[in-house]
Amino acid sequence: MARNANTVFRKRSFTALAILIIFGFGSSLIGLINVGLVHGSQYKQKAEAEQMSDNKISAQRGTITDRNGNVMAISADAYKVYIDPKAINDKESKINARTLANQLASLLKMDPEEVYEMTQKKHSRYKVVKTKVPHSTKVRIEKLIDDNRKNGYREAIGFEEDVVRYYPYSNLASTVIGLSNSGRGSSGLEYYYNDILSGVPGRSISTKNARQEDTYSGMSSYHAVKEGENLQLTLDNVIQYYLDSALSSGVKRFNASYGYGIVMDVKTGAILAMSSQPDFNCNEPYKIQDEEKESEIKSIANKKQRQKAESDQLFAQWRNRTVADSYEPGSVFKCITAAAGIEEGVVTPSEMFTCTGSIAVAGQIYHCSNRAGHGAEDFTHSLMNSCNPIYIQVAQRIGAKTFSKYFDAFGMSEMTGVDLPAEAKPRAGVTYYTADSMGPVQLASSSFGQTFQVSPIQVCTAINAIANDGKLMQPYIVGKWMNRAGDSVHVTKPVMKRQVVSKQTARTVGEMMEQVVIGGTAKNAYVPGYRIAGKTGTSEKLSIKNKKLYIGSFCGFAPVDDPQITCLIVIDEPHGATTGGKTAAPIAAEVIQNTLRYLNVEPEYNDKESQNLDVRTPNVVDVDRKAAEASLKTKGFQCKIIGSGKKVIRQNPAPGKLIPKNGIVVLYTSPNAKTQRVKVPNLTGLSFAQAKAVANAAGLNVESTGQSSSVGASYSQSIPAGSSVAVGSVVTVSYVSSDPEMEIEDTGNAD
Amino acid sequence: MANYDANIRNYRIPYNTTSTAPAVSPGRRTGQPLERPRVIRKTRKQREAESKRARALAIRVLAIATAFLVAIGIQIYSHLRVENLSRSIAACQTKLSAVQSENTQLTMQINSNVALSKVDDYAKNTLGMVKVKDYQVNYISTNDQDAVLISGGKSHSGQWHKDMVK
Repeated sequence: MARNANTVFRKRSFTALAILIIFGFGSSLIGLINVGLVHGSQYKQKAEAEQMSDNKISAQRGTITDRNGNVMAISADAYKVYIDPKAINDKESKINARTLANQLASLLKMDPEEVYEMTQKKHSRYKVVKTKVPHSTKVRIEKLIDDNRKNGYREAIGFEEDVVRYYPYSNLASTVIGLSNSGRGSSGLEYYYNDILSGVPGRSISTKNARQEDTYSGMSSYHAVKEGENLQLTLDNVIQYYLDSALSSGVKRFNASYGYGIVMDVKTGAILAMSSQPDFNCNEPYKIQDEEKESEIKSIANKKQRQKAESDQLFAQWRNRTVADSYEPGSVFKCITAAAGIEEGVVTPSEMFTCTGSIAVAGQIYHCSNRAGHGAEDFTHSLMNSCNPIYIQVAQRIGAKTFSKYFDAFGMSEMTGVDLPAEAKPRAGVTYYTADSMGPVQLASSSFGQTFQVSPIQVCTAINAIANDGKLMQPYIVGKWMNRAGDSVHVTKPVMKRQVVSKQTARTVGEMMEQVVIGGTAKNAYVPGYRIAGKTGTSEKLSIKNKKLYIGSFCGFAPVDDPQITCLIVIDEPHGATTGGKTAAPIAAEVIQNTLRYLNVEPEYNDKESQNLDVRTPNVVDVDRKAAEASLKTKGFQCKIIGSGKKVIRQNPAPGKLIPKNGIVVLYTSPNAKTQRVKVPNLTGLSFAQAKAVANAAGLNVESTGQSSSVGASYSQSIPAGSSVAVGSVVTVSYVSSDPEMEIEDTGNAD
Repeated sequence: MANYDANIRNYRIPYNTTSTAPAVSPGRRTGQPLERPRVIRKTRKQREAESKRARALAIRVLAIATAFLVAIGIQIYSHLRVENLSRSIAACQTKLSAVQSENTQLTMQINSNVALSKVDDYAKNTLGMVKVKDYQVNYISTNDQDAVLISGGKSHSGQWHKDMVK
């Protein structure tokens, strides 16, 4: 009986359990079928919407470096700081808007009033306070938020990812590098090479938890980001600095509107430096650099006019005029005419001509720069004197058709193809004459570089061809670009476009151009120790008739025996001095001298130059005073003795120092004798002889740079007037040659 | 005839379907006393063996269930660990990115402060230095033979070491 009961009980238990299991799991199973199969796709969509995230992974923009690897532009992660004005002004909010604005403004270095105004946009939930905020500032703002958590700052202030582009050298080559805006290049190389610098963004599809953190699941996919590639330029920071600073001070000195210049490697066409002044600070591209212009614009009452003026000024400072602008090259073009004439065999460097001061062509009278005429002169001297009638004659010998052929061959009718945006495009019949449209008058004007327009890069490339034994090179500015690992992806190889004239012709013209620097209109480009060839140009801006404005230019190369660099300097709308010889040539001399020294090109002084070199002061310390004096005077030095002792205790300048010949050496003979100091007198506006007399009278030595003639007046001194210096110190005074010939403007306008 | 097996769980009474006798429920003969089925008791040993077998089965089932649960537990733990590590990696990457940005910013600040224009300005205006002239740079030619400069301005070249030995 008991066993029956057990059995029955067991049976019943199992039955109950089975029912429980079947119903329990069965309902779950039914639920599962319902969720998985019946409504599966609907729930899947909801889950994906909730958990899946599709993120774009930004590619970091590539770096721009100079030829030596110095970083000129680099990107880094930054943040956008935004506020929620609605949350700030909410009735339940404990935030004091004024306090928050002051705190944020102090951290972000902004005007508190400006930030406060943003907090008052009460209907907005999102107002960007500042972009490109660095990480260190973000950390300080986060601390502010943490300290004010109870006040609700966390709800009011937020961050978003942003990118900042750093330009460590600020203004250096700014018009070449350009600027980028929101990760996109807007001008210059940033624009031209935007695709290479930008890279390709990646994509990450993954599941996220409630805290928006990535969760590990099999449902993620990742598309790798292709980081932007790095550009290595052909620019050299040091040479660029020389060019920028010389041009900048030249523009100020001559009160010019603009100044631009190029330094090019002769053999390859690589651009070592390129500058357009005034320029801008790449880190603050929207700030007008010219303070005068800025205050002028701010004083405009009408808002629209003010905005337009501001926009025009910004575009003007961003513009790279070396490629984007065109100008009449003036007498610099005579080198091309000379090359064409010599190559065609219609003229030789020693052929004699007579300049009467003018020439008539089809009823038009063309004057020479010297209205009285240069008289009898050979072809070389005609270049030295920049004699227009001679070049008109040579062009007539060449003929319009052949002249046009050389015009085209030297690249004046086509873009150079330099890898920069907005290169000025020559237009036949508009910017220059073709063979068909060139009559005798047009031929005459074109022979000395008037009535057609070319860009500075075209002129530099053409003169570079003369320096490079007649080979026309394609200019370029990006040497290579590399991936993040530093491997080269592309290396730019120098491209020779064509042989425009023979090597012999090129060298002949080069030697003629050297004479222009030694004894012609380009004397101010002369640098002792270096053989420089070049030509000046002065052209009237024909497009602006109601006001006489000029462009002074110089283009040359050095050293003549083994050309390394070609340099073009253009001063646009100078005032006071307007000729190329007085404005552009001294700037070119400074740039060429500094560049050659930097490139370790050793100066070689001829006998005449050696005579004018400074001499080393002899050592007369511990020598008897009278003997020291006699020794110095024998060697041609002047002597100043301070103290009453019998022996020389010390001397200034110190032994072995270089001072000008006939300089002053100060001898101190008493142990207690203090170093005498004097105030530096004003030595500007004086001839060298006058400056020397004034300086010697004050107990100072003076030396000169640049060409100094008996009528030349100095324009700057190395130690400012009024400075206190030790007696015997050397003051360097700078000169620009002002020969009577060079006073006459070299425009050669037709009457 | 009734027949039954030794365990007497049930027994069958074969009945003739053609019989006209009234149907009676099997298992009971009318008029005859019911025979008690013989109960065969299990021995102690048998019972112990049986319970042993049942215990073993239970332990096996438990072990398998435990192993299964442990495996699931390990799986969940690994999953959590991976999630935590991923979170840590993400946090480290964020920190690294921030530090790299700061490094870039500071490096650029340094570069800016040692730019040529600043160096030039400091050298000229603060230190009162003057740029070197071309002729102040002495170029040394290394193409010549070794030479010795003796006090008094005399010099030897070439075989000087042999002269010294002499």
